[in-house]
Amino acid sequence: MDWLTAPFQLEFMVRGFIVAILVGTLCSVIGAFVVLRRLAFIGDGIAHASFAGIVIAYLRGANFYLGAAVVAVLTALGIGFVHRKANVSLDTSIGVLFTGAFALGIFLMSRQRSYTVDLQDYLFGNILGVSRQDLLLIAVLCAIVTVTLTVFFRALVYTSFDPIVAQASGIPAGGLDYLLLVLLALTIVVTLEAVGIILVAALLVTPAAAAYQLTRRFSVMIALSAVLGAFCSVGGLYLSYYLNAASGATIVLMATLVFFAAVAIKRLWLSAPHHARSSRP
Amino acid sequence: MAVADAVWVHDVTVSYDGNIGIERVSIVLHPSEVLGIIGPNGSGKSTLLKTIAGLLRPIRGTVEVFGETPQHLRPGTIAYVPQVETVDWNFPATVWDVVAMARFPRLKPLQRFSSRDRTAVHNALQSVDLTALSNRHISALSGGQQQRAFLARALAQEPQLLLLDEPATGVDAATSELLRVVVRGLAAKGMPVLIATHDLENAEQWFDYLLLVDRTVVAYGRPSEVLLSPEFKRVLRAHHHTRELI
Repeated sequence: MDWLTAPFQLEFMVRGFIVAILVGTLCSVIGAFVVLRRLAFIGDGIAHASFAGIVIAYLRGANFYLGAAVVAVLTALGIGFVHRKANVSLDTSIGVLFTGAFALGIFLMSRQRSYTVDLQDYLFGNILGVSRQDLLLIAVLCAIVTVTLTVFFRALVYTSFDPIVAQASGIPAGGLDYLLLVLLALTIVVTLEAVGIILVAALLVTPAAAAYQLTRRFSVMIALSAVLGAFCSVGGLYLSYYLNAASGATIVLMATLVFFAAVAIKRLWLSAPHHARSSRP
Repeated sequence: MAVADAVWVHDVTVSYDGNIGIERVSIVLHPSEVLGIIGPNGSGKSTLLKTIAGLLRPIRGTVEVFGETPQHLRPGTIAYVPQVETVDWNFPATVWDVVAMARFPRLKPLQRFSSRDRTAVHNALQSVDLTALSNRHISALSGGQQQRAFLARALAQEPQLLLLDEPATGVDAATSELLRVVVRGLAAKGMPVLIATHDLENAEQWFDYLLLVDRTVVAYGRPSEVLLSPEFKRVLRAHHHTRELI
């Protein structure tokens, strides 16, 4: 069993595993809402936009997470605002705002004569580069998102299924939309250093999409998604250690494999004789 | 408004995506009354329902439900039953799960789903004859069963005002009759009910009053009066190219 414990001899590996479990679980829980509300493109957009915040924080010598969080939340709210006020479709609003913010990040970075490579860590992820301070911040943000999700869980489920009827019955559907976008932005910021801007959307979508294949109840889906997300993050980190590969990419590839396995399991199960009578129409 | 009014709509104009949806509409609905709203496509039937449900805000006029603006009512007061195509029936939920959602507006965060809540869901399923299907995934329901599940959800909410948008459209005759019996039963116990509809068959059995709208109120009265009125014939002629209303 030495191979299981070997990575834990290194302190940065231990921190990496803790981050992997935290962000893997958190992303997949909120990912269940992302999948059912079709917010995958928003997640990708917010992640790209946060790059501007990281560059600004870098130039100012401020905390990267703080910079990313401010820009990510502003972009998330801006996307909703432009969609409603400028009367353009949601994906157009996302397309305009996230490319604009991402370009701002590149523009600011390109004007620096010498920029260190560590900005690249945020593009491709470096879960092993997480400092103790970062870990604390990640844990606090995870706690905030988890508590908020728990408190508003039922209302978020209802508005995900039927926002119109939920609102007519007195649930503030519009406010909950914005709340979910803010939680999504915070989750993305927490996840940036683990898998990188380019691949964050995968952790938001893939475990939840795999869970969606395997269950017909939302509460089961969200629990299964959390387990799959944590499993892929930890398993991917192990694999990357032994294969000497980029951790973020390995985690995402692992999730992709799990997704296709879930699709295969569902097809086998649906074609099994015991299920032949009661399959979906 | 008089105290006994359940719904009081006075001189209301609503614009929808920049266009006028309904213009200077006034209606009154009392407890125990079932009011059918009829009119051609795009005449503002759904807009009127959504405005009373508090989903749209008028740019002119007043809407009051039990003496309050819809947005200020206690959560759970209004149950709105939309057309079944408005949701994704592949959402991971059973029939029970969907009907149970109706209890959410009443529950505080983290408050347990009580036996009182379970009883309400159970009774609602029973009154639309869906108890046997309560563990079935919603994607496995027929159109009529979907409509019954939506009505059950409205019943489980234990509302004080019921709004239905085209409940009998695309359902089988048995379901249509079951919906009618449930609605009449609720009205008999005092519930005011508003129904937007195309279906004028059995109008006298469904409705106490009919409201004919074509962006504004064209006719109002007992079903037999409205359906024989010159206004009805005029609207019918003007929209003869559409087959609805016939």
